[in-house]
Amino acid sequence: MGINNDKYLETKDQRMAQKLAMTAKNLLEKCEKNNTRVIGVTTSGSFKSYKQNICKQLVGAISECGKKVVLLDEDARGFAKADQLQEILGQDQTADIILVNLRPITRFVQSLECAQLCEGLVFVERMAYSTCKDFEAALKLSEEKSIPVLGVITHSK
Amino acid sequence: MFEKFGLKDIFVGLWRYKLHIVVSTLVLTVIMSGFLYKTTEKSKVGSANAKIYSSSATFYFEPKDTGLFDEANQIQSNIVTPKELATTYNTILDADFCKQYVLDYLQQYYTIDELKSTLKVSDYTLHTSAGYFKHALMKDEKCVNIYTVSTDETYSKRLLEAYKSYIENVTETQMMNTTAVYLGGTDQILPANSNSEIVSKSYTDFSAKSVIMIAAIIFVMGCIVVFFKCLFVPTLNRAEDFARYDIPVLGEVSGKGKEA
Repeated sequence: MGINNDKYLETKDQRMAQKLAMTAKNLLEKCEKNNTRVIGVTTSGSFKSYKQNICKQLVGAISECGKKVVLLDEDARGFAKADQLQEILGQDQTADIILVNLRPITRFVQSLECAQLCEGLVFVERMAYSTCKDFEAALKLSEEKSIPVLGVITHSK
Repeated sequence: MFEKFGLKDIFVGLWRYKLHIVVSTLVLTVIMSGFLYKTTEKSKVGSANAKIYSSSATFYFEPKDTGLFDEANQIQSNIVTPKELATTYNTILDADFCKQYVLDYLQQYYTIDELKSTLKVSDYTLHTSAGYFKHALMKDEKCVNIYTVSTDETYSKRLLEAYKSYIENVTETQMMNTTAVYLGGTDQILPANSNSEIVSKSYTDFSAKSVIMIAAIIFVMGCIVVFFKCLFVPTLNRAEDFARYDIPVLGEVSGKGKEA
């Protein structure tokens, strides 16, 4: 029974790693296509903990693809204002990809300002929790501010 | 709004709110069961203190012409038997003119409003008054037993008097060839939770069935609330939902995963 459980977990982890690698690959392709280096990762809802986790996992997956990646975390107070972010972005020219973890742009003005400094946005949406209304509002806002949306990473338990 | 809605959305919504539904069902069931239990207990205490008064009388009817009827020597076939008389009297006690007579009799002592307040009822009519009176043939079918039951002692006695008076009146004015022999009667005080239909029907039993029913109703109501929430506040439930916005899905990540 224990052996079977271990096997199951191994398979589940492998499957998750595979999915993550695929996500990183798709994201890199999109970045190359759009010539994007600074990517804002945000959500339309308010579920920040899993987003942070996905960001960290993405960094690992992108690194495995042989790219140098840096994660700037707004939630962890890596930067508080758009000026600080701009300064950090100006200093770091060596990274191939810079992921900027942002709070929901529809709820925080500072996050929206930071998102405007990014070359593209990726939404992380939790399935069955993110509402259509919030997502539409976030898309509308990014369109208004002319921030290109690269795509969506869906998350489910 | 509704074009985004499918069967999957309902199940996704129900699964999402499963904990809310289960917890609210349990909590509300406990609260409502407690409330119901308390109410039932109060009723029982109230009923334990309350008393009902019952008065009864038994009559034997015999043909007048021949004196006491000799059962062993039924020579004259045209003579009405005590059994037939008892059956006849038992039947006429249900008649409307009997009820009217009784009501008129009672109105010598009470007004309708007084009757309502005495019996604590909202309505007192010809037909509702009959609810306080029962009658039946005895085992030998030769005697009729009448009895009254109510929460007021005086009313029970007067109601019995009214019926007794009616029987005497019938024998004097209509069925003059018969004699009603009063065999005796009893007055009883009973606890309210005895087998009296009049008093006990207002008290309900609290059982496991009630709890299950309450839980089922709350559970179904919870599901309905979730259904409407899913209907009016739709969520993104599948990767295809993003296709409507022309946004590509870069990947699907599930579980908490290991931190990199």
